[in-house]
Amino acid sequence: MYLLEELSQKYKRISIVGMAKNAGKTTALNYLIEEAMDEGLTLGITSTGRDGEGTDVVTGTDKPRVFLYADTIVSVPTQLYEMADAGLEILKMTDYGSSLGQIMICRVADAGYVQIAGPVINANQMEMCEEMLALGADLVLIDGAVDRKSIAAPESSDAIILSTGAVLSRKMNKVVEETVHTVSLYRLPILQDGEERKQIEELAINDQIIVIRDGKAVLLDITTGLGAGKLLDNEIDDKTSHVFVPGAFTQSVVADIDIRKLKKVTFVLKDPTKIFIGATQWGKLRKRGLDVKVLDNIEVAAITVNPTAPAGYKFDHEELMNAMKGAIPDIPVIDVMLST
Amino acid sequence: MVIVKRLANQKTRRETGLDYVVGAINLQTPFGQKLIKEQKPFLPGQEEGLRQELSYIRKLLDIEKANENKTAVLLEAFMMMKDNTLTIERSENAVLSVVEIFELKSLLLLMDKVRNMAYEMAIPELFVPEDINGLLDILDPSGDRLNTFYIYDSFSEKLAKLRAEKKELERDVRREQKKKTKEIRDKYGLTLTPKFEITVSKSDSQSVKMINEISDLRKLEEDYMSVTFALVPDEAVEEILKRTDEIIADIEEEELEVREKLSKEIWKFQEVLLTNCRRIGRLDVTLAKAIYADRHDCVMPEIVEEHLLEYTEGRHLQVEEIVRKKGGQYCPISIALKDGVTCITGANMGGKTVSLKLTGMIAILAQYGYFVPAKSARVGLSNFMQILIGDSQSIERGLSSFGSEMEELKEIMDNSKERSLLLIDEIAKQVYDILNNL
Repeated sequence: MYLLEELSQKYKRISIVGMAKNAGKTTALNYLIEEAMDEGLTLGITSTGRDGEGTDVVTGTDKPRVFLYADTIVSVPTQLYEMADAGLEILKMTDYGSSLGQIMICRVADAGYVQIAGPVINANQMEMCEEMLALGADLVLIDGAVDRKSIAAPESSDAIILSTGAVLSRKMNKVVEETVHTVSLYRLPILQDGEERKQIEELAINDQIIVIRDGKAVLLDITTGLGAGKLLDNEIDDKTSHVFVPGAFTQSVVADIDIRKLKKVTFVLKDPTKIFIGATQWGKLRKRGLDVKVLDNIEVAAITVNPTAPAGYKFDHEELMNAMKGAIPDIPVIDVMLST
Repeated sequence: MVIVKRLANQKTRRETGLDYVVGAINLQTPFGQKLIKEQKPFLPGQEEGLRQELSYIRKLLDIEKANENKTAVLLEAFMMMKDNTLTIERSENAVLSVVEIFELKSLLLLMDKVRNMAYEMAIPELFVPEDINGLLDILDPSGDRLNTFYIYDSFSEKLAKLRAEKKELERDVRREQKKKTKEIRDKYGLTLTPKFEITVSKSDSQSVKMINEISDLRKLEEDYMSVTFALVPDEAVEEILKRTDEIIADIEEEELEVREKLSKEIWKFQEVLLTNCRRIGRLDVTLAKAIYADRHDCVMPEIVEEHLLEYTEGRHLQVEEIVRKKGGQYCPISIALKDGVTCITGANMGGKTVSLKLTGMIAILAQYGYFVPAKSARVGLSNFMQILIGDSQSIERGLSSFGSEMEELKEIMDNSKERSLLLIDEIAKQVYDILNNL
């Protein structure tokens, strides 16, 4: 399975995002690292949080540490440098701080276990990825946020690998449903380049909602929040074609809008991470004619599946895989605990 | 030589604008920032020293103007410098960490760069770091001069051997495991994970039974839904793994020894290193003074032996900046003072207090070794300077304006000696106003 080689042709930076803690995100990372070793790819590895922790601080389960092979490029804060089993050559001291000291970019000289931590600020993260690619990495893996809501900015990576698993629910079909929901949100269509998009981009400065009436964009004095729905409902008329909602797109924003109006406009959001509506509600809204586009969407390169939950229950490997593959046929699905 | 407690008190340094100028010059290195906090004024008797300092500023200014690009490179190197004096001091008795040695190496590379630049620019020797290539060679045996660091193989033959052995052993183990993996795939059609494991669902009882019987695989863990098997390390592999553990311990020990050796070597150079930090600090400060003087049309004051103060077209820098920002133009003034009392008088809002402050600014800047904001200036050094401006009410000391002023006057009377500069603004104003109304 040459998944990594395929991925590195299309993408340079991949975030590994978990749908919840213990969805198998780090297992997925380890899996990919082994793949890279086999395929002869040089990886750059960084993180948006501290990982490779011995024990997960939230649920107390054993988190696997990250074993890195020679020539891998990795970001390590000064305080974790001595703790690494691997021999690390310091390539650069960056200006990015973290709670564990300045972040350094190192090359693995001697294979071994490492705890990674990366920059906290998104802009720094992006710079770091560029530096790693410049230092010789074929592909940068970002061990990312805990759950989908905290992907800081879609522009920080070219695609994501979504980690999901039994931890989401004791009912397998619920796990599949939630995952499918997230993936479909990520893949919402992008608002194409054109007058509407241009006007929205020019006008959008803070959290104010914008409507496009008769082809002209108007900045409203409404931000998302309590009561926004009712105010917004008033602003939508026959001439309104688009509604740009920069902040959180929640159930309450949509609930107070007249259902007839809902059908007639296109909602535009910055990116799918702004959506805070559950699978069931979303389904209902779509049936009622809700149309949503985004300025930036998120490409899902692969989905990893972990049939084990920290609470102790497990799903049947094959059943879960088949259910997931059936629901999302066009994205590679990998069970990181099982052999292929 | 006359010994005084200090040239000017905190209020005087603030009100004359010395603090403002010191804060405004652009220092790039932590050494410069340290140095400027320690700066002392030149006192009567030290005129030669002051002239020397001022001439250095002039020299650097000329060099800067003739070498704009090189100066930019120099300043860039300055900006990247970190203060590693603590590390240098630690190297006497402690074993430095890899990170510390890396940072020190970075500093050495920058020092070398500064040294080379300084040579190209013909900067006077007292500002140029001494040659530290001796230490750099020790920290960078391969001579790459790259800004990276690791306990490289080149530091210790023993280390190189141990690491090579470890790599080979790891390769052997991996090769064995891959061979076994292939065998198992060929024989039983099973594919192991890259970690040489296989997990099977218990519902697939046929597979479970079959795998149980494979001697090369042993059960790793099991639960109510599935079983995980792992490759059995045969005796040969077990031996290799044991040896690998031993080697890892040896490697750690050797790395520690190398660090210890390097720390001692660094300590041997501590004098040179600390000297270089001081020189770089001095270069940073003097260059910054020169650049500031250039940007703000400041002139080198002529230091004279007599106690006098003269300047033409002086401008108060702080006020000038404010006026400029508002789009106006500052109106410069010229003054000539000798020992004795000079009285400035004039209409309200005429600029009397600013002129007072300006006079203080030029006098104090000159004595601290800065160029002054005027077309020309002749300065004789003072032993003591004090400014007394009528806003002296002190809640902390429980004094009213009048009370504070009287205290300050007392301070002046106690401390003034020969060659003092006293700048007094409308003393006892309140008393005068009251008297006026009686």
